[in-house]
Amino acid sequence: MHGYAWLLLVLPLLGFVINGAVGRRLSKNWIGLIGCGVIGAAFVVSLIAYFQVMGWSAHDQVTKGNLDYYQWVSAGSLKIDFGMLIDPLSATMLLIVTGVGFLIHVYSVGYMHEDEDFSRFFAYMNLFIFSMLLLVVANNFLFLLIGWGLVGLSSYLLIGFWYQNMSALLAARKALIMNVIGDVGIMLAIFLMIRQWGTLTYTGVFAKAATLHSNDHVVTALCLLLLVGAIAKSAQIPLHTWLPDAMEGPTPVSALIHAATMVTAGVYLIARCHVLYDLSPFAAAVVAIIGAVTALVAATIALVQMDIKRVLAYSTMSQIGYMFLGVGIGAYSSGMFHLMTHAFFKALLFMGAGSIIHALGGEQDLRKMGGLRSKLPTTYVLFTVGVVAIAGIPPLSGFWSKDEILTHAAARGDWYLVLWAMGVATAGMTVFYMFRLWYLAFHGRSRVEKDAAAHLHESPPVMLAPMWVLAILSVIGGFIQLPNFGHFHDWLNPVFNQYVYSGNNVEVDFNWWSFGLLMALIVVAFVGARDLYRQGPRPKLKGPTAAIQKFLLEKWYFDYLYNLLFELPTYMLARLSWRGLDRKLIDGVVNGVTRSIEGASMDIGPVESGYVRTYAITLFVGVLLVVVLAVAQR
Amino acid sequence: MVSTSTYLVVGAILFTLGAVGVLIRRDPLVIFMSIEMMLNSVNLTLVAFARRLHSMDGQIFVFFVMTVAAAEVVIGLAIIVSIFRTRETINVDAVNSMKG
Amino acid sequence: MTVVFWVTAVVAVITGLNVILQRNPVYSALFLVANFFCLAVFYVLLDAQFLAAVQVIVYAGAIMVLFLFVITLLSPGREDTGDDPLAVLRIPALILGAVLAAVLAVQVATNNLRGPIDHTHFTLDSTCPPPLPNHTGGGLGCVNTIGDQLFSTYLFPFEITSFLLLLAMLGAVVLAKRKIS
Repeated sequence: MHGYAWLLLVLPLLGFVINGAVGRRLSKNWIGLIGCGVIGAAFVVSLIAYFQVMGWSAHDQVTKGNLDYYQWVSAGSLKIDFGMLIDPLSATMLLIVTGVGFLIHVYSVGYMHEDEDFSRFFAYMNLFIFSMLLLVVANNFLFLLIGWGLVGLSSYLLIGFWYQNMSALLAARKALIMNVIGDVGIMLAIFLMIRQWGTLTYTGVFAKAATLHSNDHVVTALCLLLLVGAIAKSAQIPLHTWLPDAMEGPTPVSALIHAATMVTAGVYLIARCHVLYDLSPFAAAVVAIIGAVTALVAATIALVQMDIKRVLAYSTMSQIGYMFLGVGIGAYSSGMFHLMTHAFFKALLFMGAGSIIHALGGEQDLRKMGGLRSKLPTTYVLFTVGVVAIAGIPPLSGFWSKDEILTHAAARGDWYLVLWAMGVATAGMTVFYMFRLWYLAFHGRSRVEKDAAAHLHESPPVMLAPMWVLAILSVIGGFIQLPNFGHFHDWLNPVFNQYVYSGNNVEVDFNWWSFGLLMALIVVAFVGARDLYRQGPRPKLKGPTAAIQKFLLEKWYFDYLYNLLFELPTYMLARLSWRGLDRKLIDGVVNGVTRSIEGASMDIGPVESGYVRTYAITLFVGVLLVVVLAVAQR
Repeated sequence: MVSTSTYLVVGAILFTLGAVGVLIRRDPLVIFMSIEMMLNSVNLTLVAFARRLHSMDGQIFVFFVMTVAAAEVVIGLAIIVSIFRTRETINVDAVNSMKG
Repeated sequence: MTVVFWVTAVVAVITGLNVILQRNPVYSALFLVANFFCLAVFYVLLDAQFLAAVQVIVYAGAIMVLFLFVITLLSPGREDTGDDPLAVLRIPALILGAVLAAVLAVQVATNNLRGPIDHTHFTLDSTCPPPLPNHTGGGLGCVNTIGDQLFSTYLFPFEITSFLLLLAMLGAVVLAKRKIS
């Protein structure tokens, strides 16, 4: 495995370099071929790695995949090597990232076809895949951080891809700033690790941590610091405001980065550091609470959104909340399971949205859609599959993963039932807003504008084929983890049982109460959505409900709050520094120095009168002085 | 009684006269002549010391001083002539374009 | 010899004064020539016969002639056209001169170079004084002594001086040439 694993990183990087450097001179066919080809090749390598890992024993699975490549830092007692870890957890992530990534790349060939910056797009996408793979396969925290940062960079580059738009630039900047806050969290965690234990490898850190007792301060601090990073990357509250804005980027970007892969990096991180979270129930509880709260809040905001991509963005936020909830309560494999199924159907949904947007020539507002069922039949079918999956309607994959998390939450008992209740409520709302979307976009009378309607056509096969693949996966993907048939759980178990056996991550019995409640809710929500939105958008609300709607539309006023707390003081400080410090003080000093020198030189100028005789007399005076001094010495 | 110091005093007086001449005259040629007078007074001093110390070094020195003074006069006068050509005056104060 | 000295000394000082005080530069030049002759007398009194001769030939004979050529070339006597803008400097210059003279005189007066100059061997037939110790050739001031020194101890400066003279010649030619327009 050592011999070929490095291809995983080199292939996408190669794509980035080629498309980035000479892409402008290549034909679109070549660009697409290279861009998709390297990812496809990486997928094949991932498959090979996956099968190889599958063939090992449980013990080997978590040790044999630890590959060392070369020394990176050797400074005194600090030694950090570049190495990869291919174990069941990272193998799963590899397949998801390269597989879904490949499908989205193919889709992009069709979606971005009209765009002039075709090569730049694929270069950035390959860069992203490279960064994400680096994050996933790193066997120590430093390279995790490097991948983390690069992923943030790629996100910035891709959100701001259409840099001619100011809104895109602002969104990209916002995303980068929040991501960097997360980076700082991870950096601090790294510093703490070095200071405490002098090592950054997973094996080193987890082994050292495992010797400590529960709720140890260091471990808790590490967990919380890493959590900051996870929150920023996965757009959980409170560092979530960048995700809806990130929809400024092209739809394939939203599909890949902001649905299937980058935003799930936080979940991966927590799962990878399960040892630390097992040892710190406090931190784990924080994770779970944040997840549940985000899931609920995001779902409420999604209820009122009018932009198709924004609905999906908040939906993503909400579903990741579920994943956080899952890993927060110790059900690591459940969280990962939902990560996988979500990647399938969320990418599918975004692709479908992209299909609609492409067909309408750029329109994203739900109020200007409707009746597309007959005009875009294939998209309609595929999109419906995605909606059913995310709604958690059995037997599609979304149901199995979502239900498992909720079952685990209920099984924990105590105050975790509150989180369970939040999760259930969220599930209901998810059904509601997704079907609302579905009805507004595809059903009812057509509200499409004239010039967009003329343009209306179904997407080309290059865009539809990946969607078909994802649709199939969304349908059957759930079957690898059924109650009492938990292959996925067994597959990941060796990873989560390493170092510490906390009693977490066990399978629990199917909870019929939870199931029943969930089904009832689904029906209610579906019926509600159908009745309210079948005809089209609702008229404007009045009275107290209008106030609630405003509150939700303003995203719970988070943006206002952050603006007040952070942006305003920064602007004021900047202005003060500019006017007061820079202009008055520094310029004053500099100009003052200039003026005084000028004045002095004006005054001294006349000495150089140009008259030879004055010079002569000055010389003479000097000579006289020297003579007198010499004489006085005697 | 004539001692070495008498010669030195004469030399000192001539030197001072030359220095003052440089400072108060405006005609560059007269200034130049005053400079020559200063050089000569130094020559006198050197020869006086050579006599006192019974050594030839002083006189050889004077020999070279004279040679160099001759060369210097040549160049100096050439400069004055060329300045006169461009300015039509040899008032030394007129050569003041490097002021400020 | 003392008388000769004193007379020459007075004449030297007077001519020196006139050099700097005469309005007409031609008069200044002539007085300078007289000054040089006085100095030549001093050199003879100090056993520097060769130098006395060189003084008259080079200084009085060549340099001053050159001066007079240039003076007559450049509108003689028309100095002091207009007011002297630096008239204020006259008094300070005089004062400084006086100071210098005083300093030097005090120096000379307070040192111990009082021993009389021995003029006994001085005669008017031009024989050289007895030879100097460690020297081939003649005594102090004689031509053969100077020649001996120039070509042994002071050979390098001698050669350099010849080069210097060449340079001076070139420089003068270049500077004073009329530009060919």
